[in-house]
Amino acid sequence: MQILEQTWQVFLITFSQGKSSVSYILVLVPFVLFLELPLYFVSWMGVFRHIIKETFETPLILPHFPRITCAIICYSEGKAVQNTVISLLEQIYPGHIEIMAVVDGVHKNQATYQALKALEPLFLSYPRRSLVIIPKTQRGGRVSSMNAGLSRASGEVYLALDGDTSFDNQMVYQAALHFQNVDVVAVTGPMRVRNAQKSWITRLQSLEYMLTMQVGKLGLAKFNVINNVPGAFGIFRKSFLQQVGGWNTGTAEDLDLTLRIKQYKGRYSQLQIDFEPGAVSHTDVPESFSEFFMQRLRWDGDLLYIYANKHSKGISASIMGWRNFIFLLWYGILFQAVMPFAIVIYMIYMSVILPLPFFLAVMLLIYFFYLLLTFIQFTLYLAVVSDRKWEDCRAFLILPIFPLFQFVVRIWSAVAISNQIFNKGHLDSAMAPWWVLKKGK
Amino acid sequence: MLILFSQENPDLLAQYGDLFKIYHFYNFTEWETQRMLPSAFVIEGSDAQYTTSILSHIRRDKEAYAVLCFISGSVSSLDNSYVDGSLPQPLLLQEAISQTADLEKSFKNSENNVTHQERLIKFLWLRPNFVLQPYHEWQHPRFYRYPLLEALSHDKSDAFEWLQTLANSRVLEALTLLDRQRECAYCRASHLSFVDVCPNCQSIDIEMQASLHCFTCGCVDVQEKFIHSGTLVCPKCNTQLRHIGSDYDRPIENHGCRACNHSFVEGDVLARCAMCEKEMIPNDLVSNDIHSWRLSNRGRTIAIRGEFFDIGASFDQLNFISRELFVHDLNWSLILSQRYPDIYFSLFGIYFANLPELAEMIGHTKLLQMLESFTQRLRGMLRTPDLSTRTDENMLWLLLPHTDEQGLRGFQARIQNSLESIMKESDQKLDSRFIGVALPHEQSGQEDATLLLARLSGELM
Repeated sequence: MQILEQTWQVFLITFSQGKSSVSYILVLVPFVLFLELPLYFVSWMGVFRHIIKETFETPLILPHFPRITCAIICYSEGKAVQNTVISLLEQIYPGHIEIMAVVDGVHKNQATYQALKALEPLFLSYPRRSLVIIPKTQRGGRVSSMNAGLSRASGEVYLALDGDTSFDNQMVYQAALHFQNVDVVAVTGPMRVRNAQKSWITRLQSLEYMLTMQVGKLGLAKFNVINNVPGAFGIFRKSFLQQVGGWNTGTAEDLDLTLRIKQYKGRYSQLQIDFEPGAVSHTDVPESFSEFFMQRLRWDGDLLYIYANKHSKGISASIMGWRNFIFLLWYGILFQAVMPFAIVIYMIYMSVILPLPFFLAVMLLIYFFYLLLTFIQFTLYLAVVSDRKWEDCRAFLILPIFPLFQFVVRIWSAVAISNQIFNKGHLDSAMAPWWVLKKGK
Repeated sequence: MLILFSQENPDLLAQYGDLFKIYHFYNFTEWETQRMLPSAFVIEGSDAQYTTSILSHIRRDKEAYAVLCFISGSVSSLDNSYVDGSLPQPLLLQEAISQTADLEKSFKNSENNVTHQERLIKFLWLRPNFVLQPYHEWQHPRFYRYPLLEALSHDKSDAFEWLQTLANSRVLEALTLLDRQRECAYCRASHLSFVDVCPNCQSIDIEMQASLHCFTCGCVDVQEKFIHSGTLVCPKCNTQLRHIGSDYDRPIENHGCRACNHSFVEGDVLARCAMCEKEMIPNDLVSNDIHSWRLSNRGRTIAIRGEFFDIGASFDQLNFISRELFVHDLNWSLILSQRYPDIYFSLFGIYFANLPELAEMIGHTKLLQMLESFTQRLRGMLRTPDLSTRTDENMLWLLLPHTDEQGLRGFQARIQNSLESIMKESDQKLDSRFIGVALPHEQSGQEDATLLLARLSGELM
């Protein structure tokens, strides 16, 4: 209790002393804030660019309804996969949509297969929709399923989708419009959390998705530096995807593919990866803390695997162009890989050199800083990006604990990266059998 | 003797000349002038229409209907239902003819051998392995017909009705079930069409209409009203509907009637007869099983012994009660007699062991007369409360209340007397056996009516 009082005193004194102390704070306030802030600014600038474009430019929308193939990567979803298929059937899209369900390890996943089979009669009442079920007897993992779908796809546009993800009914229409531009090779859209109301952790993740996937990606896309086309919701020009060679073995195949597309940019700078705010997908996120941490252990560990192992040579300005190179260096390497460690080291350093009340005061300051940042970001999101404003307002309630959540996530990220370095975590994945993972680089 | 029907080639059967005498006719009318009955007809089979016409004439003829018919060359599936196959080698033909002649000798040549049924039985008797096959013809109102039955009945009776009668009297037995079809309840035609109609106003003007149900305001309407420039917007509350399951769903009623605007899940189905143009619901359609048939054992018995008649029918004036009722009453009487010592009764069985043989020896008419006069006498002997039943064609049971052993003996003596007096008029002996028990004294153990009857009939046979 005494410590808390002292902390509060320190905090008040720091602010009441006026200008002279600001420089003192600046020394204390971690450099990481400044590493992070510009990223936010870039993203916000992008959002404003988007607003201006939306407001003042009326784009010429020509009808463009190419044949679409939606490949749903199914495993053990069971009946839940029906929601995905039905949400695709429901698309308001005048062109043909081929819905291709690839069931990996079909002997083990009979329930999923039967759930898909049961939908066959439903297709009769939907014009211009067809269902192809590809049962794979030998389990080969996500990558194998997506490539299998790609080789059988008849559409001009190929959507790689997860069996536990569903979509708004304008998704295909909005996404397909982008492909009128021949330079667009991939499109992604906002991912919303479908089970947000399930628990605290899903609410927090829901807010995180809004801020990073929706605001963040929209901003980045305007500068043509989208960080990742997620594996659960990626929309590609099929011909280009085939040119690139589809997906590659190994975990984080989505980031790997994004990087490989970017590596064309040094030579073909006109290629674009777009973000379509109107192509909304809804996915389930882990509902318990343990599941959540396990997922992040995989994701963040895979980041390093991709950057350091697979693409150590590909990340260069000559290959992917200066803009993407700088962005990747900044966002991918510094922000995602280095910063978690910087934070941990800084925390240890501060706790050692500062008296406890001072340390806590600094922490409090950092907390308020991030809270402010989150608040701005979220307000911007609600005002500009959100398509379900009332529903999203609920997230205001968890705004105060969101900075803490972010902090924990960052620390955990450091753990994940360490796990990757010392344990070769990328080989420990549920996404594919071990013998497939072993073939990765 | 063979008769050859051929339009041109009289020398067709040159190789048969050694074994058979062959006459040649150009057509059926020419044969009718002479009406020679051969051992077999042979028809030159190159012209299907010609063959069919000759065959159907032969089978309709009042004398030649059962004569063997062979076709030189291939046999069409229609002809197959009347014909005895394609022409065999001379020796085999001779064998077939002699076999048929043998069968004809054993056939009971009744003087009134002219009814459809008798003709059919004779035809089938002469061909032991013959299977009466239906012929599928899509132009026919019922899709299936039995050309042989049409010919033998001179087109006077409906083949299916006749088959039903034959099956009921157990002359024919079904061999294989070939098809089951629905027929018009009014005219029994099988040419039906099915149309789905509005369950409300029965109009056929219905269509599939994709409908939506808005979760926000509950509005249900056709999909077209929701679509606005590539998005779904509820026409009532203007909410944008983005995701099925969370914003909207599809009601199960996805059919609409354009005549009365009724929305429904599934239309009614009406069956419409193409022949009589009447409409009915599919449940009212008549189901008809199409079988192939053959002569039953009973049919064969009739073929040997002549026109069938139910010998037992002569007992009908005895006012039989059903076996079940008789057993029930017998049980009741048994229980009654055990409970009250002053109640006693008798059970009397009459069994005729040689009715079929006797019918053959003295003729049906005579036997029938004999049995009828016996029945008349028996009726005179029975008192009002006496019960009688028949458990078999030739097994009668009488329940005689208030009759003791002495009364029973008297009853048996009177029956024997009357039978003997009837028998005096005839040379043949009717093998009749009697059994009588006075109850409850002769009841063994706890036996009930069924066991008692079984024991007694066992003793009789």
